[in-house]
Amino acid sequence: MSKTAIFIWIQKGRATDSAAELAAAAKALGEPASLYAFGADLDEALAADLSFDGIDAVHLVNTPGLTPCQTDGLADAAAQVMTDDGLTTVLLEAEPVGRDIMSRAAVKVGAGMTSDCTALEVQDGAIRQIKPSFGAQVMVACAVKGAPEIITMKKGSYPPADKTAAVPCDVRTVEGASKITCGKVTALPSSDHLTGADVVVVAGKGAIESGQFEAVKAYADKIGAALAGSRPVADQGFIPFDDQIGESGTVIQPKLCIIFGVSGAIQFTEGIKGDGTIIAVNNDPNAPIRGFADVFICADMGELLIAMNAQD
Amino acid sequence: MKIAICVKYVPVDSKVQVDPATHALVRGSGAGEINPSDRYAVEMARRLKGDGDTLDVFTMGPADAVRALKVVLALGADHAYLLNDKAFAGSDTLGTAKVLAAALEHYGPYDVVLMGSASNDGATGQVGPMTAELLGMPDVTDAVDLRIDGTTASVSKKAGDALFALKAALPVLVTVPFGANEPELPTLRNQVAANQHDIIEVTAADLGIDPATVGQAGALSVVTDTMQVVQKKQAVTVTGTVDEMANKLAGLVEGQLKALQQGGGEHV
Repeated sequence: MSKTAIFIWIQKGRATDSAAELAAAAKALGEPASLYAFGADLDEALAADLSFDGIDAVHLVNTPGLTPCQTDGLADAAAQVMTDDGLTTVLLEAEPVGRDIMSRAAVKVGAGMTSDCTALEVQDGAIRQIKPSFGAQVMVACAVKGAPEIITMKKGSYPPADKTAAVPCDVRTVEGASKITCGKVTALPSSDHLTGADVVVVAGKGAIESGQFEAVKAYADKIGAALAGSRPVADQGFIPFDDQIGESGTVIQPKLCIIFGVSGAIQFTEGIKGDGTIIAVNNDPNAPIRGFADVFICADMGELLIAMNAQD
Repeated sequence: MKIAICVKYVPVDSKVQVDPATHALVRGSGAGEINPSDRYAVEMARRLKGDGDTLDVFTMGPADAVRALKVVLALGADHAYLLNDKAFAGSDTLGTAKVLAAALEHYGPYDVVLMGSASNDGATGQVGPMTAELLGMPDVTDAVDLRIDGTTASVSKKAGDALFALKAALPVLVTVPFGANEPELPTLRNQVAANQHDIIEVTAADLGIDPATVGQAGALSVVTDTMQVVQKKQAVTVTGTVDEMANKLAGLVEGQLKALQQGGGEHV
């Protein structure tokens, strides 16, 4: 019998908003899922915050003394829960903490693991795990042979499920041993200027190859837009890695997005969600970005940017 | 102290096709390079290496991947291992981790193992933690600084908008994100010397790996199908002289910005 579960890790007593999205992903599989929240000193009151459409039970797993940096100990706990409860499918958000913990847990329980999925479907009793392919204009469907399977879901793939009345909740304690100790935490300047931005200007490989990166940046400044880039632009150090848009980077939902010199591979376009207006500038009339944009300008961006930046 | 660094040789050109029958990636030009985030792991390893320490570099991949090894040799690695066997082809992340862990055990034990946080192509970020688990080591992902004092590693880990100061008992596996430091480039003289350096080729048999447990045969996560993406939109195309296009674009953007200020947004 299949037993689907959602795993989340509670930090600072708060549930991440991924729980509601994962509940919606689980619902796409057609059977109710149970939600496991891992943390230190979890209180049953949390269950009310974690009761979503598609969830039939909340299990709070206290892991005393372990913080999210102690991934070796948390992997012990996750693997033990998977074994104790006979879980066959575990869904989690594709983010650094869960990815680290569950990669280790996958080894412990012998699970196959698929990363960064954007949709789930059931076919002939197996879960088709859909994700964009590297570099090609295709989506790939993955499957895990046997059980259990661990699936990480890209944030923003499903609209959050609705809250429901509180579902049954239990609390347990699972110990894990860690060889890591945590010391001081130092806050860094926020890099979160893209995810909430209404207007985003994106520089692509075409912008750096034609020496127009600075002109694109000047244009972004001029219209008060956040500046982002595609993967090659980050790889070459023109923008911080956190400002890279795409399947392997940040996912944005701007109301207006102006894209210079991006061909439009699926790995990039998966990083722009929502129904905002997309304007693309590219000198290749057949660039795939044309099929992703609302407005397409086939032009040499250098000349266009000179004209745009010169306007009052 | 023995330090190991694992690198991946990735395609430079991201334009790849998918074989409709096998669903395998068909690399276009075949040109490759050392995975971008691995360069930062190499730099961290290079800075860590003191007098009397050894630094060994490992890569799993085809014969071409030797090029990645030679770059790391030119940056100061002492031994270079190419893990190359037909049986390794088609490995999922767990299969890759099994091969790396077997090699690290065979040629180790190592006190510190470094890797890039994620590859540029697969970008799963799973291989580091899986390898650490197989080796019974703790792992610290996204480390931007690493110091060793006796048998303890002091690691600065970047997570979200914060740096976490962690300590881990050796041996430890550390993954390094893109942008963690400023990687040195090999000098021409060192690169020429490295190009003559021995590369140790390692097969599944050398490591005592059962071929059924790795590669395509052992993969638990497999690609079953590929689907062409049909982009839904039919873009309005703006034409004209440069000035005409610039004016049209400016008008569009201005209209959108105005609508945003008034709340909402206007869809063209």
